[in-house]
Amino acid sequence: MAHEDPTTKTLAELGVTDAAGVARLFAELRSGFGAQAGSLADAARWEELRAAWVGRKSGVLTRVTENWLKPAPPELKRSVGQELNALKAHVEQALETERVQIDAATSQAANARDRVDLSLPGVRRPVGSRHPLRQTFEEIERIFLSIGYTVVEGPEIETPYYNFEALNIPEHHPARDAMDTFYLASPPGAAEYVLRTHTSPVQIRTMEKQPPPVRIIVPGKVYRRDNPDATHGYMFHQIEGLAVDTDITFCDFKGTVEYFVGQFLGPAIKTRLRPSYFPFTEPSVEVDASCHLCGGAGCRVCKFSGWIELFGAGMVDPSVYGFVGYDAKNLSGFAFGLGVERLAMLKYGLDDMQLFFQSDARFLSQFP
Amino acid sequence: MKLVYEWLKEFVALAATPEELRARFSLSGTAVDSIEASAAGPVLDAELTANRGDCMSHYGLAREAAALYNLPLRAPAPQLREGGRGD
Repeated sequence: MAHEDPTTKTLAELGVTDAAGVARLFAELRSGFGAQAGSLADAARWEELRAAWVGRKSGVLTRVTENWLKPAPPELKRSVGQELNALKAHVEQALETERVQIDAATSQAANARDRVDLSLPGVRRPVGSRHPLRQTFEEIERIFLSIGYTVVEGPEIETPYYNFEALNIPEHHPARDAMDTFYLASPPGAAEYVLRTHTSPVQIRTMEKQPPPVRIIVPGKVYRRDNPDATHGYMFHQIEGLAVDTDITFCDFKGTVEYFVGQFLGPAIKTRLRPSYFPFTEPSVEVDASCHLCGGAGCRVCKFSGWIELFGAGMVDPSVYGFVGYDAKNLSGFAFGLGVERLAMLKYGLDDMQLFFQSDARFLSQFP
Repeated sequence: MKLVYEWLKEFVALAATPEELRARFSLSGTAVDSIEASAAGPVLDAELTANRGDCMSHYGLAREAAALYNLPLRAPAPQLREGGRGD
């Protein structure tokens, strides 16, 4: 404004003494407002205008009330008051009209932005797949279910009795060293527990509950205190097998093993049995498969022996029957413990067991 | 355990090569993981089972090899001196 803002002065200072002068002053204010309210671009400019006119502290209307109305001489109070109310009503209504227009424009812009385009292709959500270990489990279970075995499970937290003693591994037996057992912390005098180091305890639990004949497989997790590397982990998976009946011979055992390996790794793979030792089987064997890479000629994978160790097995040691109340004189059977990671690595040609546990989608998605 | 092939020969007159011995041992219950070359000649890495504490020495495995190949076992002849303890 070229001259000073008239609302900072009283009517007397402005030299206004009659109603006509008051009306002229208010008319000027109103046209000044009209010029500013013409076209507001956005909500921020609207808020500026609102504060300048009806703001409680420094708005024009507040200044008019303070400087014109309150000190006005009694004969002018009435006309100032009327003009002020009319101006106030006009300003408020104009502001409200502007606000509605700005809101409408804003929500129209938002709608245009958010509009659903039905012609766009949909978002393809990644679909998970069964873990390769789970697939291996299922395949092994399928093979054994088809020849009359049933699936049994047991606890991962075991007592030393089931994990060791009942499997013919008394305390201080050197075979306990080889197991690298996790012992669970327990208060002094309380019962001791271990994380099972093999699925074999379920052999005992099953035979305690069920009279012969027994034909079971036991899939599950086992724990050993090993540092994780390409062929070791502190947790891995086994499938235990147990068959006990009155007439089971080593031939039955060998036939079962050969049938399983042929089904799982293919008919081209040969097997051999190699003497070994487990406290709960006698005789004990390691089952070897002919190397799938070199066919037995010798290569890096089979460490130039032509054979790859598959799993341990054997005929159930008669002393185990004593622990479960079976008649060792008239019963015989065999047991085996398959390492699931090892079999899966052989089947899929993997060289690092840790791949199974890293949850890397690039790896897992290769097993649809 | 690590097994020095030449050391075994002190106890049994082996004709078999380390490779043949490895295959033979593996089928008799002593798995041999690998054969490494060393300054002392080939070294076999034998994996012993928990029931064969008697094999946990070169002499023990030499006895095993002697039985496998039906060869005489030359027992070590300790040179003992008469005298007090700890001399």
